[in-house]
Amino acid sequence: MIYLNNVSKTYPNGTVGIKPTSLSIEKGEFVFITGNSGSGKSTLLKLMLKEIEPTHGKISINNKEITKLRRRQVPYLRRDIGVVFQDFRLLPNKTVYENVAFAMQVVQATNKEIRRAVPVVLGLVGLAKKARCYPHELSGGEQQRTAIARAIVNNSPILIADEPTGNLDPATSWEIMTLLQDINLRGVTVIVATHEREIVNVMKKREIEVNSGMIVKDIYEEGYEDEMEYHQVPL
Amino acid sequence: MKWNTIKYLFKEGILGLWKNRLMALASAGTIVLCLLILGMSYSIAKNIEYIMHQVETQLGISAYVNEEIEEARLTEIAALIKNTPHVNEVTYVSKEDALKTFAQGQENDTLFEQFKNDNPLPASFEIKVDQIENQDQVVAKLSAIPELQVEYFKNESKIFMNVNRSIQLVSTVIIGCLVIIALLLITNTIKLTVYVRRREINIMKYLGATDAFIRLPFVVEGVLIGIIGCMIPIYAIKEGYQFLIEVMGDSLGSFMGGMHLVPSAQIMQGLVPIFVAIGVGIGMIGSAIAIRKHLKV
Repeated sequence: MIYLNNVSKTYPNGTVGIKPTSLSIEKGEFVFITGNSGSGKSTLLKLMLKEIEPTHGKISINNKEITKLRRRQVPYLRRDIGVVFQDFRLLPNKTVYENVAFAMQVVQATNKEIRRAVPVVLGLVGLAKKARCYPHELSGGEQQRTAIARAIVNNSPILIADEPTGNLDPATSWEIMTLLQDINLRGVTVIVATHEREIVNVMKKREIEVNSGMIVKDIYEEGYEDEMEYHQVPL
Repeated sequence: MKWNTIKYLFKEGILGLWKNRLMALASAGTIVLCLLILGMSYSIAKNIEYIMHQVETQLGISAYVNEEIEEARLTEIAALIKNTPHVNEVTYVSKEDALKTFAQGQENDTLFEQFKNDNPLPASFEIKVDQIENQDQVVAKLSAIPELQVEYFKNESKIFMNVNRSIQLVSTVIIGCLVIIALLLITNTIKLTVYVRRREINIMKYLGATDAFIRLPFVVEGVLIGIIGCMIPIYAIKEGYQFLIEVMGDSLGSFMGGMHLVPSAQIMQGLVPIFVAIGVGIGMIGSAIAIRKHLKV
């Protein structure tokens, strides 16, 4: 589903985001990406979203080599990937319903499709009763649920969550994580960047740890260490 | 793009205008003020030009006719003058007419009777030229006719031409500057409105919106702001100018001898296209340009 082949990223100011790295994430996986801030975690996610271009190497998502995509094709890549952020990024002057519906307007769904799909998704994330609320009337957890509803409403095969619980209290964090797990069980490939050790330890999912731009650990559930070697390739 | 989507985006644009009404008001206000100043300068410049033109046409050419001329030749010359390019108006003043006019200016009423039989004044053609710049050309043509002796306000015309040229230059420069200032101010305000909403644009990008999808509501908004921004000054200038003509028109007419202001319709004919082009054009292009920077995510 997601393949990075010898990908490296050096920012124009000389900062190294990611040293040459290869990585593969298969369809239906639930993956944690961990690491301290500045470790290259965000660079990794930004590369997958084609927010930034790799300096070297190839990235392919959903069998498409995204490094070759032209600018005008990028929106169509993004439609395959739902994104959830730490700061929710909801449109402040739209209701919960409208925020979710907006994602469908973007992909030019018909009004009929929107009317059918949005209530279903809101039910799934447990916000059916809050459909008419504006983001500022919601708790952090509810806002994040709205963001998740928006990310999955178009049935994107991939969901990327960048520190989705960073602004939430522990109890709410767990609710969000459970929701992400439910979504994963429906066949969506979920990638969660986080630095909350406790969640990672308890959930027992694949964990990719990044440090100083390198993958230093890639462990599948319960301590099974991946045999893949992540060695540095000289540029 | 699907029709359904286009409809949605138009609605979004109108809604956006309302939801961001403070910024929209700022943009529309800037457009209104710029266009008002521009419209006033334009009206003043047009009027100066217009009055100058009226004064100019008062400056005629006199072509005095040789005494021993035959009737047939006279009509020939009259036709010749009439067909000369740039000649607007020709009046033939006979010897008697000339004397009458002359006598009218004198206190002595008997002057006319005295010279009636031995009139020293020559007959003449009084010629008015369409534009003062063309006077020399007409004079040259007339001088070629041997029976005529041409006289005209050579120095006065020169002064007029110079004054005219400087007024035109100054008003063009001033209006040009105003247009540029208006452009800068308006695009800047629109940039600001887009900047305020860069987060919104950023979110749309992450949801996979195409550039056209993001741009359309902003452009709709920009055009609406432009329309509002030019309707107000069009109305204000039209009413204000009409009022000015009513108040000033008559007194100016009696004061400056038959001068009058440019009719309001003519001013509006020149102004409305400029206003619409600036208002709507800038609203549209300004928002499209302002948004471009934020589309690169």
